[in-house]
Amino acid sequence: MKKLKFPSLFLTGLCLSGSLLFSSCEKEPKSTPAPVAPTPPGAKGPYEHGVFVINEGNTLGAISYYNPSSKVVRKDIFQDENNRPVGQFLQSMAVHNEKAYLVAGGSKKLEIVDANTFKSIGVISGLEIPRYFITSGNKGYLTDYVTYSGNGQVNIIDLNTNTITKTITVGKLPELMAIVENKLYITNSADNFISVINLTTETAEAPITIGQGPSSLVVDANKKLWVLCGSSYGTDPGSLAQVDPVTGAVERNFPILARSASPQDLAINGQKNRLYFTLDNKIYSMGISDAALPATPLVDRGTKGFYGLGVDPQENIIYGAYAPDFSSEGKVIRYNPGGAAIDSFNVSVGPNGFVFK
Amino acid sequence: MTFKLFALAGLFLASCLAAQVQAQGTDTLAGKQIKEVQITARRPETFAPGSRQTVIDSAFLENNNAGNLADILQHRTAVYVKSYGSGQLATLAFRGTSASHTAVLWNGFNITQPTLGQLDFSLLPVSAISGVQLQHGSAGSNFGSGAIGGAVLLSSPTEIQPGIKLHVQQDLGSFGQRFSQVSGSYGSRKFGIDAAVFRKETKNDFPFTNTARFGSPEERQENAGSRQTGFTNNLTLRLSPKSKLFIRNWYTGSDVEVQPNMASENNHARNLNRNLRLMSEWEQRSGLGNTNVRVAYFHDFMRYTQDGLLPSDSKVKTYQLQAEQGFFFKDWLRLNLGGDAQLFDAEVADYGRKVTEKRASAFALLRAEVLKNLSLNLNWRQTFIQGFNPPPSPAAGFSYGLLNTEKSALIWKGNMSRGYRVPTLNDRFWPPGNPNLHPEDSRNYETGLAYGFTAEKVSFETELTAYRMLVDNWIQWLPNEHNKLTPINLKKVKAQGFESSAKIRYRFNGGQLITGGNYAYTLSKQEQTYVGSDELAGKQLIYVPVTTGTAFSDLTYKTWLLTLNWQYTGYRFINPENTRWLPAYGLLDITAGKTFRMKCYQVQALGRIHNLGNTIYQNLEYLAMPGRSYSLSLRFQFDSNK
Repeated sequence: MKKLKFPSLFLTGLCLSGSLLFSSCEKEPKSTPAPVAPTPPGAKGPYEHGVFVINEGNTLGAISYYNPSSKVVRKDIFQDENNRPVGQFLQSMAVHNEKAYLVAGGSKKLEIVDANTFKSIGVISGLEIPRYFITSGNKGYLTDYVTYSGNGQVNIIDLNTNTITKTITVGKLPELMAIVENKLYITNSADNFISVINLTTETAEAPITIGQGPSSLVVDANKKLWVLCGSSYGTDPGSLAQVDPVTGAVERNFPILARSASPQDLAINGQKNRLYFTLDNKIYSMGISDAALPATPLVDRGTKGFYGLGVDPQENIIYGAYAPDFSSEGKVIRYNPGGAAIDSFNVSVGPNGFVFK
Repeated sequence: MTFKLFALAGLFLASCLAAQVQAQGTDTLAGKQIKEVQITARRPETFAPGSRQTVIDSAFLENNNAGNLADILQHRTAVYVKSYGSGQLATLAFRGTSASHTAVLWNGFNITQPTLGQLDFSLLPVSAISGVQLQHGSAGSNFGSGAIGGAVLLSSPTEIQPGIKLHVQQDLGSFGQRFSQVSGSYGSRKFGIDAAVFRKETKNDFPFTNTARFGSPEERQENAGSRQTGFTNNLTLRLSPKSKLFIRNWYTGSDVEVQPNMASENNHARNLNRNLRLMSEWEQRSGLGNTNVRVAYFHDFMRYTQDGLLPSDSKVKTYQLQAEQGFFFKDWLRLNLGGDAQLFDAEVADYGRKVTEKRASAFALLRAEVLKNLSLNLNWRQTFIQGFNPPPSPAAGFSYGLLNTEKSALIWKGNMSRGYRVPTLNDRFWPPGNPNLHPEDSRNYETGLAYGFTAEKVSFETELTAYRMLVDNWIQWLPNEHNKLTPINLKKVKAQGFESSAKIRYRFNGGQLITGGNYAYTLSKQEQTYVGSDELAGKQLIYVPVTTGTAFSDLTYKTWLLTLNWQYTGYRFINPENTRWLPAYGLLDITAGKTFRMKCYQVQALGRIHNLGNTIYQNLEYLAMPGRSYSLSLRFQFDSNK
């Protein structure tokens, strides 16, 4: 009997402590419902003006919203407003006619929301590997890789019916586009040319041969195209080229030889006379009439780099997106036009670009 | 060079065999009494008396042989199984570590994929395994690389099953589940052979509400089916009363559609796996101690396909050799010395070149029963690898009997051990790679109390373990300065918590009731990060539930069987900032069966309901999981011994 006492005590103790811990430890963190974003008086919605950050996510992407005057950040406004994720691998966002178009590559879809309220309006699904979207009038143009090895395409979308009316084959891994004088110029990041589509006839025209791996392009104040080549899919040294869209001639070409990474994310300021791009953890800036590439960077982050770049067209404030990994939150660092850091804020996972509205 | 090494090893084995066959002849002629050779597979309780172990009930394995090992462990342990769905990828993580911190050994050989450094438990057919044992905590000295959080030990039968046995089984279930198996065994005094062929498939096209899409439509899951065929074969030869030879073969071919999450489109992703595992083992008992020599050859093929992508192939051949000699110095002192060598020969499309890597290690395991009720052990292992060497991994532990009576025993245990993990082949050879990568290094401290009570009708056992573990140089892939993903030694993680289990068995006239449960409380936090990471310190790691638990009840009465399994998974944070999490859930499964016996024939019917409560839950964010489902199993058995 004496011997049995200890075990039974031990048992009771064990059961008691076990059940206590079981019930006390399992307190789920309190779920704070997303506060409804306030709509400023007289505005069309809480997101009428501000900076939108595209976050690719590790599985699910997100659009973060930043208000530069109040400095308020909302990390996932699509989820907040629609109670569902925007989609897998969010690649880009375009705004047209009070609507925002969100391209989610992994979900093979284009989500359409009211650009001021971010409430869902519709969706175009059944795409392949959609990348970027640009609009002109009642038409939208969407690049789609289709495959990672073969030619990609541009889908022409009727924005009244949200249906694809035509597809035109372009080069490999088509990325960003620009429109000049009723022509669409498409970068093909795994080829060495820019595809050209006549928007009136909706037919392909002769492509413009350029350096290997063009992936981003902008249009300057003189209506010249600036194309950044040397994407991560290419092996050649990169280059920055000025192209006359009318003649297709490469008027100026600046090779970027001393590089170990791909130059990325060509951006332009509001006056359209100053270019920006990232290379090797640095941001470079160059006037459109400068005779050479800048010798020194505008911003040097040392060992940490950028995953996206944007320039606020109003104040020329530079927004750098930093994605430390694809599980933790990314960060946006703001720089003044001289390259001095102003401040930073956290966004969602994998920020890759900006839309200013 | 290395090939020669293996050829030599083979020769050595063959010559030993020849000697044994002769010896055996004389023994039989002399008509000596043959004593049963003890199982010589080194059992963790011998050389890790101070650490926690869990043994999966073999009857439960048998009744659930149509499932995969992930399902079994989810039902009977509190170790966290991260499952991507029914028949989908499933990994196991002990004590708040990650899936690659779990070593999986099949009859002593590590079978984790050398490229990925982890094993998909959903590909491990239960029918190929006869024993499952879990060792919790770091045990680098016992199980080598990867045993940081713990180890899963899978074993094949070591005893010859006498007579002829035949087993035919057909299972049918909801959402296109099918399982068919034919197996048989033959055994004489000196020779035993068994073989099994099986085929398993599921469409897994369950209905669910897609809350990630506009309007939350009702959908049927697409692209989530799987097929697996397999063949297993074991051969046991008793060469002499004191020595045995085992040959074990295992082949599985799996074709798994990768289930897309609710927010993504079906991109027809598929994972094709072909795994061939061959091994042979020779064991000899002498006055000195046991001698074991094992060789193995594995061939792992993996192909991933997806719309728009060219197939990505990975082909790895692994050659392994292990030798171990035991010494009994006194009744109370045992020492095992051994070594092993591995050669990996990998053809992985993304490496851009063929890669080979050699590894070797040496170990010493010591156990001493210094007092009648006190066992001590001291272990040590050192691994050698081209280019860098992991730290030595010592372990020291004790087991002390506080109370030992006829009916009850109370044991106090303690263990201090070090574990390590050599970077995987992907870590080392995926371009651009990181030449400065160090092995991961863990220190594990644990103590526990185990209590057992046995009476005529009732027996009871319970164990409570508290641990603390530090894992340093934790490897994680981050984009480098050129935005290319590269593995780096990112952080130090501190995991602490406790594990408890209890089981009670009540025997009554005509049957018995076994009921029990497991519970784990796990805090696993980042202590410190090194270069390149902005992750916050002091936050719970993602996909580490603070609490997990299981409860079960097995009732057998005459020819009837009733089993209840309940599993509980607490909330898991899904981002490192700990601001988003998936809610907790509990699932209940129920099995009922009846056996009809007629002389040497037996027919058994088992009916099952999974997720009885039709609980809607997510193991991974926005990955749909099946609701209630049913399955039926019919088994026919012939046993010449009955």
